[in-house]
Amino acid sequence: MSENWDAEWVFRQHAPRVRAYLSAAGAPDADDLLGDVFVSITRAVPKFRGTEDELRSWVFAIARNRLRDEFRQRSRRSLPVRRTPEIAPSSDEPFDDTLMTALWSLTDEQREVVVLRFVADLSVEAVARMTDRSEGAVKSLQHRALATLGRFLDDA
Amino acid sequence: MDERDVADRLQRFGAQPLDADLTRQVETTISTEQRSVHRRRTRTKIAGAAVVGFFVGSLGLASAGALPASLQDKAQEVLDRVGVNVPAGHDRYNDPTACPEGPYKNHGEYVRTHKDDPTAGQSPCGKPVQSIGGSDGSDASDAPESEAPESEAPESDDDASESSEAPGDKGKDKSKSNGTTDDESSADELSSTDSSESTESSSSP
Repeated sequence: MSENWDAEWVFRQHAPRVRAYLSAAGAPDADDLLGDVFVSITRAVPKFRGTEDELRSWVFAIARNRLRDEFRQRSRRSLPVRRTPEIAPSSDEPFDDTLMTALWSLTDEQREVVVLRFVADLSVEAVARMTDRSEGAVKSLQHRALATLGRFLDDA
Repeated sequence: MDERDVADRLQRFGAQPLDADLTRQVETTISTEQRSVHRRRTRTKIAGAAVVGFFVGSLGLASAGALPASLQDKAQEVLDRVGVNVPAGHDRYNDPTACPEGPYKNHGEYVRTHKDDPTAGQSPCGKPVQSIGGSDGSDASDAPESEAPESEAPESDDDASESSEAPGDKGKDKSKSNGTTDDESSADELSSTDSSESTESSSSP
């Protein structure tokens, strides 16, 4: 079923996970980037036609592209690209500092897959499509990432 | 810690609500952007409607023959290509006796239809009536030639042979007059002109 989506509804529904995804993926300023992502979504959502699952994948694809642009711009301007998790997130909940540190013990590929799968809550199929990998490759990366995170958190 | 526990912990991290300030801030940005998107779309719609209105209005005016003559002619030419018939801007000369197989939309059509006729180019058929100086085709086509001798009529009889010639032809005849044969022919012409004039003068009361 195809539906029309309202930007404010999309924001209320997906903003927390988008913010968490940006933060876990190492966005230099996740709050600013969150605003940019939802400005792009607001402009494009009147033309979007798709199901709720497709909408979720679309929202995170925009967030991922925006984040990659940000990294590219920063490397072009020789600005430092942070390789550690953001320590002060904009959330009223207690921050899982240990988990964020554990995420940075993974390879870039493992971190990308595990963040999209569990923080963004996307299906294996959606992650495979977004990262241009096979579903088998996604499952394999996910398995190794979770194992590494488990060991890290046991030791912490 | 097993894989399921780690996955749950990651999911809990993703589900954390945003703080109230950030939510308000982004919601304000979104509503500002929504208004600007709405304005842009409205402007695009208005511009589109204006373009469509202009074409529909022009087509209406062209159908009614209400455009200025030159524009009406252009509209007729363009719309004719897409199979829409609208009246022409100018009245075209289409005397059925002078322009057989007519009426013609323009002079070009007449010339194309009469490819084998070498004088088709000189015909007034299909030309705007205003451009040929009258509604009667035969008068209009003969007008430039018939007026010239009349204007020079008051000149003397000696000059009559020269005055009946077109100005451009005078030079040609002078250059030709070096040969004896030409002299003879010009003399013949003079004598024939004189004789015709004398006939006219004798016939007139």
